[in-house]
Amino acid sequence: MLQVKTLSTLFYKDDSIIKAVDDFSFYIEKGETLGLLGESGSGKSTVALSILRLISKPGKIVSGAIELDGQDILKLSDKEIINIRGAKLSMIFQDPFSSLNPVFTIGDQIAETISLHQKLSKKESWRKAKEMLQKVQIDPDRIRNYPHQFSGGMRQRVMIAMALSCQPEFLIADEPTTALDVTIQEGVLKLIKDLQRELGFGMIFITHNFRIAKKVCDRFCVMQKGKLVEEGSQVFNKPQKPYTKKLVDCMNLLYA
Amino acid sequence: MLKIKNINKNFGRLEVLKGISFEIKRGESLGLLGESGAGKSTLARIILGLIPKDSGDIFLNGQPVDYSIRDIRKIFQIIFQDPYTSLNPKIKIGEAIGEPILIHKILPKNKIRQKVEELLSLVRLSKEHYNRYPHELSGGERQRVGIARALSVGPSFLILDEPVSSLDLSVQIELLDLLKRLKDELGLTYLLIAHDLAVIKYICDRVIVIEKGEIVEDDKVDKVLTSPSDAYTKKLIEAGLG
Ligand SMILES: Nc1ncnc2c1ncn2[C@@H]1O[C@H](COP(=O)(O)OP(=O)(O)O)[C@@H](O)[C@H]1O
Ligand SMILES: Nc1ncnc2c1ncn2[C@@H]1O[C@H](COP(=O)(O)OP(=O)(O)O)[C@@H](O)[C@H]1O
Ligand SMILES: [Mg+2]
Ligand SMILES: [Mg+2]
Repeated sequence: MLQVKTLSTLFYKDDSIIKAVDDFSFYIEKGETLGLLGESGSGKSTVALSILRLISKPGKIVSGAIELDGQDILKLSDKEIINIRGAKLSMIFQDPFSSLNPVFTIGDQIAETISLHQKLSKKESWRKAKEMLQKVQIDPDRIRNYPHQFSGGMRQRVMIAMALSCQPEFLIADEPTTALDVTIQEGVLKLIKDLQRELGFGMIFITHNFRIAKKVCDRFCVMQKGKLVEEGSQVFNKPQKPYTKKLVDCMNLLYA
Repeated sequence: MLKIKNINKNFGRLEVLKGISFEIKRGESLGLLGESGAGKSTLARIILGLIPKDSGDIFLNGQPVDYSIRDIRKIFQIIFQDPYTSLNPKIKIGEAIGEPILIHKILPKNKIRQKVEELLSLVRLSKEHYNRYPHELSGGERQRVGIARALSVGPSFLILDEPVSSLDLSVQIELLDLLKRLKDELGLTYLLIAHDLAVIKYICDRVIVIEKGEIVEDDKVDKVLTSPSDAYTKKLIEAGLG
């Protein structure tokens, strides 16, 4: 289980302090999909980056605990967190282009992640990387291609292959289809869900898109200005808070 | 009102628009639906006269459009997707809205401020926004500024190029409601470009679907939603509304 307890993450600006995440708590079990929902700027990505301890200046995690199977990630040394990141906890981002390195082949990048966390030979790592490509429905023969040789949707598949290459317990997907065309989105979402069924990881699915969240998630946390507004599986059927209700109404108005 | 006939456009070897033809009636809201790279913005820029077409004709009220006259901007205006990059960060909101009035010499200088305040209220911004800079506004407010600026010269035809795509849902609805109201109040004609069918459904009566530079569908929105004639349209609907 992954438990975020009273997390607060601030950004220190010249003339002000932004409470990007403000006393925020939630939990997620293995195998389930938790939707982290909120409008832009509500603090969703900051939650994600805090869990992976990727917050850097001018940001700082000022309080709280992030417990993975009972162990507080915030108390780990830098070396220990590197062992967890990409292995037990993994992440995919909105923009698959900027998160892949343009000067290395996708094989290099997937195999590197694998060899970092699993004591495998170079040859073995590449074999595993090919296997992962197959899982995300990319022709393994393209393993020596560079990121720019793939379309947006395929790059996101490569990211998924990399993120899942070490069988993480939890995957954080931050707006994974927002940058993709609608007809491509569906395939990527289906792939993620299929792989989740196969591999059993828990997923924090971050999005501002209520329509997609409703399709993909079991349970939701609605976030506003860094704070938790409402939590549960009732968000769409029986929203409890006026803010949630407003957003769900908007969705129904537009997509009904 | 506007008739587009057999427009072709290549960028180098890339055929971006292939024989595009359609008409827009006065007072109509026509949706233009397509995925990224389909050629929507290129078509918008051609209609506005911002880039040349390779071949084809554009008629306004039966006459070929003469893009050499500057007054064309008083008829056609455009709203872009990203309200941030389309506003100069160093220019106050009020001045940005008044600028086209000045350029087109629509009003004497001393009357402009009052007109800008009217425009601010038309798009439901307050007078106090006049002295703000773009970075001091939210995305939705910036888009309202873009609309006010476009309306400042009194156009009859607005091209809205993904006007709400980068905004949150609740802000999208606010803006779409505003656009609906403005259309009725001012008798505008819209060409609304979107990749999200729901946005088009909210405002438009008719929709054109464009796939890789070709029109694959042109019909009433209701009709297209219930019985699309084209396989690609069907796929778009299922993905976008399912
Ligand atoms: N690197 C940063 N420096 C300063 N402020 C930041 C930084 N990252 C995020 N913020 C601020 O923190 C708040 C939450 O941002 P974010 O977590 O990115 O929201 P979301 O992902 O929900 O859109 C926003 O006000 C944003 O401006
Ligand atoms: N100035 C240009 N030079 C070369 N190619 C262009 C230019 N503008 C657009 N394109 C190409 O034309 C195609 C259509 O682009 P665009 O009209 O912007 O599509 P849309 O607005 O539907 O996303 C794309 O493949 C794009 O890369
Ligand atoms: Mg974010
Ligand atoms: Mg475009």
